[in-house]
Parts: sequence; structure tokens; C-alpha cells
Amino acid sequence: MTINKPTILIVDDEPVNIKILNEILKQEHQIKVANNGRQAINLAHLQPLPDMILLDLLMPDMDGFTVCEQLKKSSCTRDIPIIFITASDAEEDENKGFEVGAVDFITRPFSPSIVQARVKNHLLLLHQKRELQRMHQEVLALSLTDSLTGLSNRRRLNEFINQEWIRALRNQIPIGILFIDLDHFKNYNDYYGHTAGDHCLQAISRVLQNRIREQDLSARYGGEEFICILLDTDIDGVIRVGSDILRQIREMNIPHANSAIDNRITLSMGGTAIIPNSNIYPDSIIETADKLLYIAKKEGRDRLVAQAYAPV
Amino acid sequence: MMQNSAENSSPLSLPGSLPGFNLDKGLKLLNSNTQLFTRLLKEFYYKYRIADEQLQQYLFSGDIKAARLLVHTLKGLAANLAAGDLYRAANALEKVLEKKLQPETDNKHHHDAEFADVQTALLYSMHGLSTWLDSHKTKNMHHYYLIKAKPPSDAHNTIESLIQSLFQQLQFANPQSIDFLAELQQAIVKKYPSYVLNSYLLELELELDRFQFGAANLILTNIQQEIIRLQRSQRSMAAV
Repeated sequence: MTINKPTILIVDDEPVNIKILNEILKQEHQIKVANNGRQAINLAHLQPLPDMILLDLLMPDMDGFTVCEQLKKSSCTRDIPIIFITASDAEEDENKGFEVGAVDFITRPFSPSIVQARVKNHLLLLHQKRELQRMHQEVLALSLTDSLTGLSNRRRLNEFINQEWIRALRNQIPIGILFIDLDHFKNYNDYYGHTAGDHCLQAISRVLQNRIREQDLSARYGGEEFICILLDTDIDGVIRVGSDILRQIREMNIPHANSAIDNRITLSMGGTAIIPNSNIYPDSIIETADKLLYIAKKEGRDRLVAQAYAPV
Repeated sequence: MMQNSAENSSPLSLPGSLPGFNLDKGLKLLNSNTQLFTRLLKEFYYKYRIADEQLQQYLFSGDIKAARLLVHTLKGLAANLAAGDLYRAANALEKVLEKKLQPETDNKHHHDAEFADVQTALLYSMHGLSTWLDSHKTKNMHHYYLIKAKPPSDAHNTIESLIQSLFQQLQFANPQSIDFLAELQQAIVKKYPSYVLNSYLLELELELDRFQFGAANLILTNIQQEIIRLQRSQRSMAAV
């Protein structure tokens, strides 16, 4: 069975009507059929979902209006364009059809070329709508992503931590955080150039992204600063993840001839974890992790300093 | 490859004229597909040849809703098949019945005249169809999907794969499912001549023609089970 043709679901209790529409449309479309409203609703939810539904108005048990209303209520099927095809030429039926969400209304007898043209036009509109939605998603993703590293940006970080904080507060589960900074990165840029610096940031970002789980978040906080938010993770978990990241960066052995610590790229990290309570805000945990990072720097860099949250 | 067998086996051809029908207009509505138009006219005849009696019963018993549904269906079919007089008569009767269904009407309007027009138009069209069909002495409308194909040598494996193929079509609610039946019918009839299987195959053809995929699925399962039973029986007899 060809999978590239649009799928049309034809709904009619009279097989002769189905055969006529099938004949008109089968060349350029995959056709599915249903004999009644209940079947139509079920088939509309089965993969491959139809790209369009041609719906008879008057059927025993469940009429076309009711089928259309049901389909418009479901998130899976609400965007499928529905065209009523009926022998009814009553204006009130046509009005009601549009009110319940149909995009078009074709009365019998119809001309095959008109049916084909209307189906084609509505499929084109659907395609354009989907394309717009996809572009919107892309733009939205870009607005929440750091363009150099592909990690979340600060805007997304704030959004994420605020919403997860509420969830963790409600469920009384811990949130962990790692605040990460590349040691002597300005020296790296000065020595190797900014292009090499960008590549280095991208390499570090890949390590962070690969180490965390799907439900966690890695973000670029500043020039060479990163934050990892680890959901449902206590301080032991934070230490485990942080140590792992440190080990992987060490193993990568990225040369840094201008570092005061070693001849390779190193990271300093501050890590903490908390079960949220209503007296503390998300900013506090970031501030704490930042201060622990400062301690890591003071103690010689290339290390993780972590402790369970305590007001600093 | 599956073929619609009507072009190979059906001797029925469209007449030059058919009372009650505008054949040129009907063909135009179906992209000049003569074969399909012929099949639909036949189907219309066999399904609705006593529709006037049915309609009369509904009206007599006061079941206006059922009457309206039937008239609406006839109207739609008449439109699709270019039966102008029937379309106009059904349209007029439908309007009267719609008014009767509205709660605020006083129901004083009688539908006798409009019903009489529908009855006349129906009888006229059906008479024309009956004459045409009788002249071709078509015995059974449901056998035009059989094709004369040589069954493959490994008949059973083919039968099983054809059955699975048809199951897939039913799952997809594909209106072309009936096109997958012909080869299966031929293979089964050759390998397992059996009254029970022939009955199932006929039932299956009917249900596929009406797009009743649920019922078709059940019948196909029965066919599968009957074949298994026959195979066991053949093996036992061979052992003896």
C-alpha cells in the first residue's frame, strides 16, 4: 500500500454513495470507509489518521452533525478537515454544518471535478497549516535554545526551573543542580582563538547533554557557564552526575596550553540539592550552587564541591 | 495482480436508453466509467426494488423518521445515478416529511400526493431496470468478481498469504478490499471444493461489497478455521 498519498475517510451508510466517491478519489488518495458514525469516529483515531473526512449528513443512529462534533472534541481529530456530502440542500443544514466545524458542504448531485477540486484545495490548506505550525514550533524552539551549543538558553532555564519547582514542592521530591564553569577559559580563547573556543564549548555541551536524562535540563547560563537541573535527584545523585561529567572531560583531554592548572581543559562545579519548601525560591538554589562553585575555584579548580542545600 | 473481474466476466452492458435515467448525465457524474455505472444501477435495483412498499409501511405506521431517512437515501442515489424524476419526487416528499418532524407543525399536511409521485417514479425506474437486467439474463449479481486465473502450484501457501493480505485490507477499511477476494476465491475453490467454504465466500463477497468490514473479518476467520479443519481431515484420510 502506497504511504505517500493523503488518506481520506469516506463515511456513508449507503455503499453506492461510497463507491461513487471512491471512484472519483482513489487515483490520488488512500481511501478508508465507514458505514456509520461510531465506526467513523473509531477509524478517525486509527493510524494512519485521515487527512480529510467526507461525511454524509443523514445516517441512522448517529447523524453527521454529531459525528463532526465528537471529532472536533478530540485532540487527535479536531484538526482533520471535514466536508459534508449530502443530498440535503437546506440552508439550515449547511449553516449547522459550518457551525459544528465543517470546512465545506457539497450537495448531490455533484460533479466529480468539483469534488476533486474542493478536496485538493482543502488538503492544500491543511498542508499549509501544518507547515505553519511546524515553523512556529521551530521558531519557538530557537527562541529557547542557545544557538552555539544547542543547549537551552537562560529564558528556557528560568521557565523550566519555575515550573519544576512547583511540581517538586507539591510532590515533595528533590531537585538537584550543578553550576559549571570552564577554568581559565579567557586564556583559552586568547591562546587558541574564539573559533577554537566555540568548538570547545560545543564539545563540553555535548558531554552535558549526553550525561543527563530526558526529563532533566542543561542550559548555557553565561559565556562559559552552564547549569544542569536534575529532577528527582538528591545530593548523592548530584555528586554522581557531577563526578561523571568531570571524569569524561578529563578523559577527553582537550589541550589547554594556557591553563594555570593543567595542560588540558578543566571544569569547576558547585552542586546542591533540595526538597523545595514554600519559604525558598528557585533563585536561592542557583545562588547556593554558584557559591559552591566559587569554593571549588578557591580550592584549586578542576573539582566538584557539593552539599545538600543550606541557606548561604 | 488483483483485477476487477467485471471487465473479464460480466456480459452486462449499458443500454442505449433506460426509462427514468439520463444515462449520459449519469456517466458524466462517474467520469464515464461505464462498468461502475452498470454495477451501481444493478445494485440500486436489487437493493431498492421494493422501496415503495417499505416507504408505504413506514408512512402507514407513522414512522416518519424512518420514512424520511429512506426518502433522503433515495434522493441521494437518484441524484448520483441521474434519475431526475425520482430525485424531484423524493425531494418534494422529503420536504413534507421534514415539516412533519418539526414539533411545532400541526401535521395537517398530507403526504399522499408526494408519496404517489415517488412511487410512480420508483416503479417506472425499476421497471426499466428490470427489463434491462432480464434481457441479459444475469443470474447472480454477486459473481462478477470471479476471474479465470490459473491457481499457483503451491496452492495452500498462497491461500494463507492471500488471507493475511485480505485481513490487512480489512484492518485498513480499504474500499478496494473486494478486489483482493477474486484470487482467493479461485484458489480456495480449486484446492478445497466444499459447500461450506463456498457459502462463506459468497457471504464474504456480500459483506465486502457493502463495506461491512467487521462482519467480513469474522467470515474470513471462519474460512481460515474451516480450511484448517479440512486439512486435518485430508491428512487423516491420507494416513489411513
